[in-house]
Amino acid sequence: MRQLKTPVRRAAATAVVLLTMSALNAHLAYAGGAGSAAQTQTITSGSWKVTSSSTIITFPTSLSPSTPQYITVSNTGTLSLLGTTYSIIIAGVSTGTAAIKACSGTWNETAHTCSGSTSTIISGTTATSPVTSSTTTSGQYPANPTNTIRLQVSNSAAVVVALVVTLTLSVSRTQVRAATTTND
Amino acid sequence: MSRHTAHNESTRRSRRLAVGAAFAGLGLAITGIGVYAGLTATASNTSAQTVSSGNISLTMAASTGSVGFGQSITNLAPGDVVNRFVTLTNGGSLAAKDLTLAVSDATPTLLSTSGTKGLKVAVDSCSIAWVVAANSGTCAGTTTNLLASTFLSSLSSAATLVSGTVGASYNVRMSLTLPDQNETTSNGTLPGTTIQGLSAALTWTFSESQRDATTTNN
Repeated sequence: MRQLKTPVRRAAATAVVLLTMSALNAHLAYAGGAGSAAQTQTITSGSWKVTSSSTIITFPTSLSPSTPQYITVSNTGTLSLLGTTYSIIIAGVSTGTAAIKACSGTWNETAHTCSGSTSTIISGTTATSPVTSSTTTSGQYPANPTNTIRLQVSNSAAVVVALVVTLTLSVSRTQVRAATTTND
Repeated sequence: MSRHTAHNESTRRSRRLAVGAAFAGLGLAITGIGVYAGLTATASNTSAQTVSSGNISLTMAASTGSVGFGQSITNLAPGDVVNRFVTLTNGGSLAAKDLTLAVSDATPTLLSTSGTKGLKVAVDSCSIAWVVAANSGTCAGTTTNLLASTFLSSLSSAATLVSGTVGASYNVRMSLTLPDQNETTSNGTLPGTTIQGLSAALTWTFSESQRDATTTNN
């Protein structure tokens, strides 16, 4: 370590030491004594989402009722649901009724039959479009996270000009499981 | 020969003078010291005085039957309430005052920054240990509210739970809730500024200060 040779340097060094000690004393005086206890915790919020494998279903021009089509509706959120709202906009020219139906069993997507009973979730015509329907019926929406259901989209009559059914699936807070209180 | 004898005699005289001067100087020095030292007297305690500094210590542990803060809270829906129970112990030798609570979030989101949609916490204390079992938490003693339900966004700076003297221990219930609120998702798309699917890494910090300094005359 380099020696301090001159009186000026010694004086400067002494001043620095004294100032540092003074600052430390002042800090201690203001800090006083304090105790604390801390712990970390991770918290996440859930989500409610339903998606469809296709939101635009097109029925081409045909002289007879169109061939039904199928969509998969999934619960892609993390919370269980109590229901889902289906909305459809029907555009085109057809005298038929467009409908989305659920099957209590399994759809035969070749024969277009249901192994159980069918139920209509929503239906409408170009005249009544847009149509909105909320359902709380089991099997008509994917109740739990990762659940999927298979639905049939059909049109009951000939299509003069291509019929386009635009589907919107929405979920509001009221369609999510009820709040809970946990004590643990 | 006589010249040589005279020379020796001169040398001896010089040496005697030098030695004499040295003794004289030494004598003066000793005398001088005696004059300046004077007489001294001291008094000291016969047994050493013991002085020790006090300390304050605050610890936190999960209450019996509770997982405390150690377990994550996941998948909260609006309106959900999660109660966790911890015991605060004031274990130092000094009395403490002004118990406070502050919360920080290592990964801030609306959960901890929103004063309208974010998480809220209420703090209650039971005069005896909470009974936590089978998804129930009950206080068989007296319940005291230490903090009304408060948004975490307001707890980035410490809030006072106990003003003045802090007791030896507190049986605390932390009631965490995500305020009920409505959001609608369409085709899986979350609304802007959503409260859904967020995560917070919270640090709960309880603090206390030492009692006021005192002056003792005894």
